[in-house]
Amino acid sequence: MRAFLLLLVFGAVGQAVTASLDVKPGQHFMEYVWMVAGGLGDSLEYLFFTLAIYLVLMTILVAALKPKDDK
Amino acid sequence: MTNEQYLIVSYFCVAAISVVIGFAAYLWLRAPFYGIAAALPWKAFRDLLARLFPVGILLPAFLGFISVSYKGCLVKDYNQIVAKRSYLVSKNQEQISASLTHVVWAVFAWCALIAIVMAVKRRFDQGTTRSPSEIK
Repeated sequence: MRAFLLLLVFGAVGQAVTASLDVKPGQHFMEYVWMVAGGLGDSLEYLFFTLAIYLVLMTILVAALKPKDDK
Repeated sequence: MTNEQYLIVSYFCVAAISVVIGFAAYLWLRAPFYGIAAALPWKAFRDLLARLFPVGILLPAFLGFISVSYKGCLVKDYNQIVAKRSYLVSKNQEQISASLTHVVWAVFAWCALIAIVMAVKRRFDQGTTRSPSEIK
């Protein structure tokens, strides 16, 4: 679980950092907002797909191993 | 209100609306989903599903909103974007539509997952309730 969290955090930060912030003087406010939204979008997309893959993996594991009832 | 002011206000309003769409879908599906999750015999997996469900609905709603770009094929310059109010309104509609579509796909994905898990549970139940003579 800790390794998975590390994967999530590092991956999301990595995606956010690599987003190109081509900031020019005199740009409008919304152009900055779109730039931030672009970086944020990449990070969230990465997070979402990592979570989805993790969930699918766990489902396959549960389906394949059928662990004991631990209510 | 100028087009630029409209752009700023509408952008953040639609962002809020997309979050509300995701939250409404989560609230609507929360009770039946947790009911199904509670029926699962595997505690760790049950907890995992319960934790990821809100994220799995809210994130697609916001991603749908964020996926729409104002800089399309024809309009690239900021001044061109702001020039037409109709273009801004169409982009807002596109953002809400993308948000709703993403939520729909997320719900489909969750339904598929639940269907698979319920099928596994059914096989698991049949395996555990079978008597030793039946197994022989």
